[in-house]
Amino acid sequence: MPTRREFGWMLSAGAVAATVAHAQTADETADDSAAQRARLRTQLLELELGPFTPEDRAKIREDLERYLPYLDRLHSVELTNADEPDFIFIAESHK
Amino acid sequence: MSTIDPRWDVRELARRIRTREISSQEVTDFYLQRLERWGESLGAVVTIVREHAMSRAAAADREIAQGRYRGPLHGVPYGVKDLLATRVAPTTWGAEPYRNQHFDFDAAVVERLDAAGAVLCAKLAMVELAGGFGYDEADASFTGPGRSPWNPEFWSGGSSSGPGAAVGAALVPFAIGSETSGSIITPAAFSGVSGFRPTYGVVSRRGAMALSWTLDKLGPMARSAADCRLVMQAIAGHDPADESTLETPPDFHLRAAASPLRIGVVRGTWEKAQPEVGRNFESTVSLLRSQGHHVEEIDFPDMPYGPVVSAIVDAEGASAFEEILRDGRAKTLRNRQDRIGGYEAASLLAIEYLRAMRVRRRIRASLLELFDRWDVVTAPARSTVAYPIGVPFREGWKGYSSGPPVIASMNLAGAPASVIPNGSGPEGLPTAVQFVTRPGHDPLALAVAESVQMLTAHHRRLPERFA
Repeated sequence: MPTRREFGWMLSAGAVAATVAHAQTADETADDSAAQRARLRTQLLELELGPFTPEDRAKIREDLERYLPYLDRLHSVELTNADEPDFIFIAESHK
Repeated sequence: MSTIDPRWDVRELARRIRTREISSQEVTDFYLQRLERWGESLGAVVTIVREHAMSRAAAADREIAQGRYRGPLHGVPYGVKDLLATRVAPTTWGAEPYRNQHFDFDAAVVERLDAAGAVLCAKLAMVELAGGFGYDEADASFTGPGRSPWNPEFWSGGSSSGPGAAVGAALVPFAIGSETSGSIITPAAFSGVSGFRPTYGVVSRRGAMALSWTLDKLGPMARSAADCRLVMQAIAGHDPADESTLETPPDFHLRAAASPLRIGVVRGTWEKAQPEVGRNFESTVSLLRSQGHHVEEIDFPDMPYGPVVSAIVDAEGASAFEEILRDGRAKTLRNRQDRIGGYEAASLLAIEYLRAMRVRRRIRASLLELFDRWDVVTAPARSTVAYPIGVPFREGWKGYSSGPPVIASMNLAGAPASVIPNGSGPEGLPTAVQFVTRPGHDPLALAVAESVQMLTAHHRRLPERFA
């Protein structure tokens, strides 16, 4: 089952089959690391923005467990120190 | 009183209003009646502003009678997605927490359309918070699901669900929608209307709900690409109050030469799509070839578009709506996934958001290189027709693939796209094609769509029930 972000991507990209296929792969390969990260992030979220119902807490943790490996694909592009974010701060002197 | 045909586009209405063959009041009342009759059942409408509209229409008629004609939108009715601030009605953002929200000013786009003499008739429905919290089915607005005019058991698309349904059923001649990543392209495709996503920064977002400051755009949905160009003439322009707007936006009064062009057809986007989507797309490509364009299949750069756009929308969206996450009102949203999605989005780390924005720059460079070789990139707008209402999206149409994510990638690049209907698919639902150009080449994206519509009639069709 795709996570909400995967599904958001599907909505924006229309990549139905690709997404479902990926979600299945993610399911199969979701390792302890992803589970642990998801659990810790859920705890932090609850401290900052909670409380959550047990049902919501479980769903958030489950979604994050699938989402975090997906997000790790951001590392498929190697960046250097010279790679700046895609927004520009402009110092402007106001009159 | 003349008989008004709901198939008339803005140009036809404008011609008749300008020559006083029909009055703006007649036209406005005609569309108000249609909004009142069908707006709610299509899930297309939040608020109809009849009194305001008839007063504006009367003013337009007076001005035109006095020879003070403002241009092709003068006296023409329209609607706006309910994320644009208006004095005259609440601005709900489609979401329960903001259901009674009022602004004492008009959004820049509404101001510009007002100056062009257009007549605001309705605030149109939308997916709550423009879908930023990850809704997973059509029922994701306090007004209920938007329904496709072609088959009300299917979704009108989102997040500009109301503009899609309202234009598709000819409840308004044109509407303003917004797109962060697909929210004009998708409802235009699913509702069988023409739409246009401008280059990022061409249209001021002052007074528009923010979901993602670096992705949000506003654009028109109408009966034809030519109508979209007329609307763009009125709403494009620099706005000192919106720092993201371009100092010199493209000139939409000039119709860009549309032939011969180098047109890249994105490999992988139609071969495994729903069969009707693929066939209709091949017909459009054949037509482009017959027009003398140089058309070739192209490979799309392989980049992590999905994770990048997700990270950006999540981080910026969670920040934009931090207030309702902290006070718990997010939990009153309609869609189950939306009620927790904002919290999940808030778990993103700053370093992850910044990495996404750094990769985005690489993506933008890569796509600009693509536009060095190709004037226009084309693909089906969506790989399937509209999803059925009442089941999660993922269970709607199984087994089809759209290949490279053209919508997400081109939104990351801030590139403009036109979308037009190009035939029918299962359940009588429309299919559509998109034409994308380099940022700033907006008139070309519209010109290609206009040239196709000069030779086809898909955009002139109206569902029988609304004809």
